[in-house]
Amino acid sequence: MRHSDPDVLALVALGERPPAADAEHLRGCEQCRADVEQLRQVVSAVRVDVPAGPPVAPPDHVWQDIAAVTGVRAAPRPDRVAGAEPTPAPSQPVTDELAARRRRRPGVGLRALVGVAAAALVVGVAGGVVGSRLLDRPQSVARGTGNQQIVSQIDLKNLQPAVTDATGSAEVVRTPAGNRLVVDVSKLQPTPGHFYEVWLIDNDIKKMVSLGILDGSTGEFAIPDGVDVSKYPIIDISVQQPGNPKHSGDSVLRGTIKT
Amino acid sequence: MERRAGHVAEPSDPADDEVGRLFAAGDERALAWAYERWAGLVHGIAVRSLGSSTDAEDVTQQVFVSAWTGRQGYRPADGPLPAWLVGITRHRIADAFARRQRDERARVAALGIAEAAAPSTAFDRHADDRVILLEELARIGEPQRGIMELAFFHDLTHEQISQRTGLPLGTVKSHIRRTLVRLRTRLEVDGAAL
Repeated sequence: MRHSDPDVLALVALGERPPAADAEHLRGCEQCRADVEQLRQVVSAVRVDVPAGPPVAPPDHVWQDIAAVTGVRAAPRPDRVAGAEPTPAPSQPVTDELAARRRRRPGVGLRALVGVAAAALVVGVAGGVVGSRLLDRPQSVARGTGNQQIVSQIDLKNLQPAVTDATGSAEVVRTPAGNRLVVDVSKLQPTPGHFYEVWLIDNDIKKMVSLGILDGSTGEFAIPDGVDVSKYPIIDISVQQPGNPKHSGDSVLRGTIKT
Repeated sequence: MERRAGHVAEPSDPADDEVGRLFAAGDERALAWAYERWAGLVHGIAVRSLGSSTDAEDVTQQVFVSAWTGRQGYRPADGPLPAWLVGITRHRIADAFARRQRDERARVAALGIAEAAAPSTAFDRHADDRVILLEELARIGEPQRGIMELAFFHDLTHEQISQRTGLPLGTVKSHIRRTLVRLRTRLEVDGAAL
């Protein structure tokens, strides 16, 4: 009798289904079954059964440890962690359009990083232009004087430190004509074919308002009358492609207005 | 500059497969999203296996840290990110069981109590074997160790392992057989001595 290939017996020990001929052979061959059993003891000692059940949110310090070890600065929203009380459904919003767009432009991955580096060279050459743009800084808001008052100052945190050294700050200025947002960034390199857009976003990251395009290192934007900064406290600067009216999901700088 | 001022978009978090893709690409936000969605899955498994304990918390932490640092080993085309996380979880839980067993052995030895009295032996008949086997597995070189991790803890077939590693089917099969035999031999030699 021709025995089964030992390779096949090892796979059977791991739980794979053998080809029909081997299955037939195994039914009749005690020796091959014994060989499988020998190896199966190894497999069942190594493997552990993992009982199925509902999600259980880990204590907060587990994430803090992960962040400390990895150095990752993004953070989960505690109320969104599956299994947290009260148990929310895992958030699975439909973002097909966003996902598709991202696939077309592989975001700030390595390829974009190369692009940024190339752009940085261009900026270095064109330093004179950047310099003059800085001098054009909007002066329409006389800060903290007269009828105009700075009601909030916000540091914008770099969300992609691996990719860019960009930093920034923002001010909410109250004027007789309404609130304005003054944004001031540095080291936010132009990326060919893309632009930067300024948004106000609510705490749930569900609703947002586009304030406009950030052209250069500073910009001043009217905050629409209907938009309460205490309800849309997050200032967000995203990398956008022309033709996309929605947030790309690719945020570079972010800060929160404290009211 | 303000031509689209007031435009209200409906933003949302990326879908699961997008989180997987961003994770593989090293986007830090994806680690946070993955944690939001699947830390409960991982920790639930850990707690049900190890009890609500620092062991379970350690496992959950290790799973996300090693998933992140080893993200080049995850390819979104091969399957969903949570399935990959569960595979890592199973390995870490096996390690935790082995560690407990070693500690238990050391405690028993220190007290001079007969081995037969060790309570965890009855609780898990594989406990001693697992200590030996996982130590041996950690000593095995690549690509064998990676192949066995995929077979043991990710429940992949040899065909899937071949696809994922790019190694020919025959190579994967013979690595699996030889490694299982090596582990079996190790068990026969050291299992009796323990």
